[in-house]
Amino acid sequence: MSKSSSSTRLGDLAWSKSPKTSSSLFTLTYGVLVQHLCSSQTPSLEVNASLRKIGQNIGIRLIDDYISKTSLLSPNSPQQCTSFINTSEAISKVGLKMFLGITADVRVDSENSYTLILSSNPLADFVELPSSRSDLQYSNVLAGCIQGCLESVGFEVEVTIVKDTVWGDEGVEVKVEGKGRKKEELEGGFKDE
Amino acid sequence: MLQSSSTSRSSHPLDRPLHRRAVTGSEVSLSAFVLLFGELVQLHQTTSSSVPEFEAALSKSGWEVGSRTYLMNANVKVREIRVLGVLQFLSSNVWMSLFNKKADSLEKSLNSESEYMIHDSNPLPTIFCEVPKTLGSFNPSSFVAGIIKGALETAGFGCEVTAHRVEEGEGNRTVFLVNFCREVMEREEAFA
Repeated sequence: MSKSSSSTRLGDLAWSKSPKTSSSLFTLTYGVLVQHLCSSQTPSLEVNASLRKIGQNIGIRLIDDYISKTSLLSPNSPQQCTSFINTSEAISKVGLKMFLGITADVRVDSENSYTLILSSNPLADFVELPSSRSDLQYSNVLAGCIQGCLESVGFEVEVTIVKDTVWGDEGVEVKVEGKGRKKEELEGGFKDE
Repeated sequence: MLQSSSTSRSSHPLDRPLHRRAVTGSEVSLSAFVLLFGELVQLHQTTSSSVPEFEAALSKSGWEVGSRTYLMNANVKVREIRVLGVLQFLSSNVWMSLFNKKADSLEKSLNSESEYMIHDSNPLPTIFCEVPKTLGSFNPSSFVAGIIKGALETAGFGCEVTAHRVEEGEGNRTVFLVNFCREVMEREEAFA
């Protein structure tokens, strides 16, 4: 309980310290990005994959931001993700708060999987999917982002959007499944000759 | 049955408050936006073959953002019909809603009747943006130029907008040159 509230506090603190910008600019820019990907009759499956890739690229950079900010803000008790389940706390109470200004509830499904429940979707405020794009995973960038972040800190994960406001659901549910630790591999160039 | 229909209705965009203030915050962190914008820029860079094409693609993306922002903020009762009115609306209301500040200044060009200049220091896309030499004259602010064009054209003022970087002591200032098309100036004269 105390740990939970300390994460909330850290999230609030990080949010209050980080420079901000208007959410409508963010939402509309994301809309334009998706629109651009969809523009040339690309099948939704490919768009979904591109969105995930974009999310991963963002996630890899966000994790640096996250680590540097949280270690500055709470040098005595850094938010370490020692176990897979711990990461849910870090994402829902600190990460999402820090970057999107929202928090999520966590439902632990099993030892190796949990679901993040967001009451609203900051990416899709003004979005209605046409029936021809009903299989588009509009918020896939969020899944990619979480995946990118967790993979950067050594967790192999599979992240899927289960529910989304654009599909008519009340909120967003993101399922995160752990697939074990990532093996550290040296890049080819760094091998001993 | 009833339950499910009410659920889907409540999440329809038209039934939600337009301004997020009521639902979640009205802000997101700058890092989230900058990284997203970076991805958008990269996407356009890979699909365009020259700098003008790249800028045009980015400006087109901005157009969509500007057009929607205008519609979100426009006063439904009183529509701006004069050039100066719409420019003031743009540099205060639209700017405020997107960048949480007003544009630094709005000036009329001395050279031409149809030209106006909007000055802004450190426009959002140029923060953390380093243009490599290979891209030469590429200006990431063409996204903002697109936003201006989108907002003005949606308001019924056809125009061309270009972004120019001004090298000046500290910081960087960007001038957005708005050139209204002939029809707009003729209409303006009719009002005068």
